[in-house]
Amino acid sequence: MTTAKRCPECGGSLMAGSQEGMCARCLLAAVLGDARAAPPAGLPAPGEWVGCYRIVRLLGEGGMGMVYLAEQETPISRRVALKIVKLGMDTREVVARFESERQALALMDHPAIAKVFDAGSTPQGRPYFAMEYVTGISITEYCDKHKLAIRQRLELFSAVCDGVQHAHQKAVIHRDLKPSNILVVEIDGKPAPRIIDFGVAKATAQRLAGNSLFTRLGSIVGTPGYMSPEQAGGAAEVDTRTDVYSLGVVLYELLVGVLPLDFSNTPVDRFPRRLREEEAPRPSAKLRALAEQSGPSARQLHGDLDSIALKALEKEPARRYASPSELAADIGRYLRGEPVEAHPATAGYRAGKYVRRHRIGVAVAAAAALLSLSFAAAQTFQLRRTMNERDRANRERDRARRIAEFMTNMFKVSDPSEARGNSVKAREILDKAAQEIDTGLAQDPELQAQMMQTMGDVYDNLGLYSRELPLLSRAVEIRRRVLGPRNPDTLTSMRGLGRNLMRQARYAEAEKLDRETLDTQRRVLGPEHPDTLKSMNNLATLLVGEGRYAEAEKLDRETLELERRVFGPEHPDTLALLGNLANVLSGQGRYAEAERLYREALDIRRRVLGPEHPRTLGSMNNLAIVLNHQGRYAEAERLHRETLDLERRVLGPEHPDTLRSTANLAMDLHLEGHYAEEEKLVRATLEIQRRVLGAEHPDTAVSTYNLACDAALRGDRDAALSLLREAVDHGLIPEFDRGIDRDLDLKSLHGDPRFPALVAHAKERAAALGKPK
Amino acid sequence: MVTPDKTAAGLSRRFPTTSWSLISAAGRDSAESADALGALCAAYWTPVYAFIRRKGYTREESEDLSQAFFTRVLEHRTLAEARRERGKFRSFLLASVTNFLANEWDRSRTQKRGGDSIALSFDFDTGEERYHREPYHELTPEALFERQWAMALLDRVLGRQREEYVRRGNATHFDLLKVFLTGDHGRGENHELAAQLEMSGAAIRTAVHRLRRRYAELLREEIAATVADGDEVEAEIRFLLAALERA
Repeated sequence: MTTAKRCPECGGSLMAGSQEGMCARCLLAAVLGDARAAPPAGLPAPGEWVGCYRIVRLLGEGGMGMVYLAEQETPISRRVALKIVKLGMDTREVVARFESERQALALMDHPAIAKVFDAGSTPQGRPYFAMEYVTGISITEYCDKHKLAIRQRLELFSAVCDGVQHAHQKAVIHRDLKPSNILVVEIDGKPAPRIIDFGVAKATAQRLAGNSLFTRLGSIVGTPGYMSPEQAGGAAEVDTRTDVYSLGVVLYELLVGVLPLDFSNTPVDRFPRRLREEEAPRPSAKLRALAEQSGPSARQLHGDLDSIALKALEKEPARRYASPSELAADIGRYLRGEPVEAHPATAGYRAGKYVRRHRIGVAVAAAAALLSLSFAAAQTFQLRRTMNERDRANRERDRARRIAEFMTNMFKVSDPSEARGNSVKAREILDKAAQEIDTGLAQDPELQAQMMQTMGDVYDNLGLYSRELPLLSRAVEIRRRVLGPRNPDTLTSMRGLGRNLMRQARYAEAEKLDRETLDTQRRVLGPEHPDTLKSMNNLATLLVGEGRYAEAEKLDRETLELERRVFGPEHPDTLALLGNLANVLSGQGRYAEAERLYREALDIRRRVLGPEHPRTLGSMNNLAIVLNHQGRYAEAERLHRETLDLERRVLGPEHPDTLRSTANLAMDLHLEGHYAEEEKLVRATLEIQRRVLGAEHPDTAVSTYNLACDAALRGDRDAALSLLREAVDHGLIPEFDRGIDRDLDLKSLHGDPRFPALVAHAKERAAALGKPK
Repeated sequence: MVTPDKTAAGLSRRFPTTSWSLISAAGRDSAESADALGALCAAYWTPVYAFIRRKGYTREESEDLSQAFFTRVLEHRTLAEARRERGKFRSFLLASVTNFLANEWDRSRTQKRGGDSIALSFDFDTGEERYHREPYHELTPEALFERQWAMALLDRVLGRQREEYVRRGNATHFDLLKVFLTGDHGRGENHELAAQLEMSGAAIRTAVHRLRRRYAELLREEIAATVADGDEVEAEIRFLLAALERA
């Protein structure tokens, strides 16, 4: 046996020569940036056991103690969050108090409540709690990160109220509700709250006598800002309404972005008195007082939301909402446009409410979403000129004001005296804004271009490509002029415009623009920049649209390799590319290869994005098509129907994706020989396509072409020829043009003297339109 | 942000970047995932061999058992479990080999050897050598597996990094600078080193900094390929560190 060499860093023996004479432990520790990686004294290290839990790693440190991720193996294998309470508390008392509430805690079973499993003491004698491990982020962080609109925030908050209500029904009061105890996770792509730490505050609360409260502040309960006045005042017993107060603070913070009362500079001994005596400002007033605007506008909060928040924050418990469910109910009324209970119920108020409810109808939510989008856009605005802080602040404020004014004007869509229907649709607001933006924000072209871009995106999401085009063209024009042709934002606008042109099948223009954008991005941003990669993807998609598969495949493979490396294999962009590559393979008839890639993308998307996400649905549609191509019609039909059901529900019946799936289902039916059902479906689709996509859209043309085939199969030559002519003259893609004479469905036309003329016409058109393959 | 070092990443053929999360999600149907699984097994067979050996089997038996075990894994007979567990590749391998030794050994012994089963070639001399290098005391087979796993991982990362230097024609740099991966020791000898590399002291410091940064990237990448979630990487580093400290 050789004498073990020692590591010069940690002094440990070098156990394996395989690491080329280096210490394996130090190699790992170096990566953690902490060569010793020693845990603080008395706290467990990863791999150690606490009760029946094995510590995995430290998740975070709170006022109360440390939280670890730990694994439990028996009796069930699961991951738990282990909260180890700081020293200085009587472990036996904490555990005993937890035990006294254990039964009540066990009765709680609600999706918004994270379970607390167990309490005990560590080998070092500290109390710990084992609870459900929730991987979410705090509700305030989530709302800001995802720039949720007011309605979405309120909906999420209502779900929190439901959870707290459930606990109250089981006689459990939380006592420490605050954003860091209300986490948000995404389930099937939708946010869902999880309230943690139920039962913990009660077990760890120290006896409230004399000054003991003050020693708690900041160390156990955390931010005093969420505590109810009675709790801060040391009431011997608090009831469920203390949670209502805390919920009110959270609601306030979600609406305004700050706490109703700022205690950060208040000495601990003066805090209870301030809390008791100082009234919270109305949310709308507070928002106006804040220099920077983000999220909602003061106007939106003024009135009902002000009243709801202040009622939850009443100093006197009896004046608050009696329960979380009452608070949630009032929010529900607000969201539905009904009179809220928090508001003084004068006749004028009720009448005003009624009028508003019927005039604007359901449009409000969508418009609010649009509004907040615009604010987000303004907020992310980057100022490129150097200016001192005050100028900057003034400028930002002016900007916010300009947006607010502009958007407010958009709501005055119709003259109240004008008797026209009872609802103003978000679409009308958007259309009006699109018309007026050219003049409306002319004094601030940067902002104007940003808003155009934002509105363009909204149109894009709605599939209204022709309305999107003028906005994007203008945005490109303005940005080229104001920011310069090589500016990243200018380039982003150019890519958007290219994509729009492609969607409208204006391939030649799109390709020219795409190549210009890509070349500039490669030079200015570098070949691996996410924007550059997006443009490569854009260009490849365009090439597919033109039928230039070999070029597209080469570009896609190049991009995919870069994206896997730069973004990782499960990134949405990487997956989109995987799907695109599969499209290219499928276009070349390499169906089995394509099917494998589609399935790979679909599996990852179902897992990562959820089963109803539009992109997941896109994967399903593509997979179904490739099944169809392989002659597996029944499988394809089944999958298309499944996709279509989801799309109708998630995207709506007139969304371009829904239409495309409908057309594809029709193809399955056709190939299975169910002609009557197919024709019915195609007619219905075509009607919507003409209206939504326009008569010149390739998808519309394909439907027309398919109807022609049906007519030909029935032997109705006149109808078939006229439909064919219509398709050829209105947007049929060159590939179809070239294949008309070979299409077996059109065989019955072959004897007709009009057919060769049509074939010649189609080929001529194809030659003029399309590039050679 | 793209660092200059990054351009060299992911191009290696010898060390294909594979992802356990993809494999466990894709399952048996995907030919790509089969290749990826093969690559992962080829990288991490030594802990399995050591585990079997420490269970008390002779060298010859351990070789046969390792062969049979990996053949089964590669024939995807165990992947369904992997999809259910959605765990780390490390846990999957340990659970599978434990299960294999407990239940499936007899059955696999009766199956035809060779034939159309997947051919695996392991360098068992290396496995045996590594097994003997371990301090021979009270380590359980599981603990030994975890230690050997950490070693195999570090080997692979060092190999990948060296490969990157080789491709840039800088193998000597790597061989001379790699000792600094574990710390700042030996700085006193920098004069000699500077002469050998024909670099200034400042240039060496920069090179070491780059080396360490890239090493950390590669290590995280490598670990990420063996776990189900990207957010488990840091935990896995700590776990492996703990596994090494248990000796």
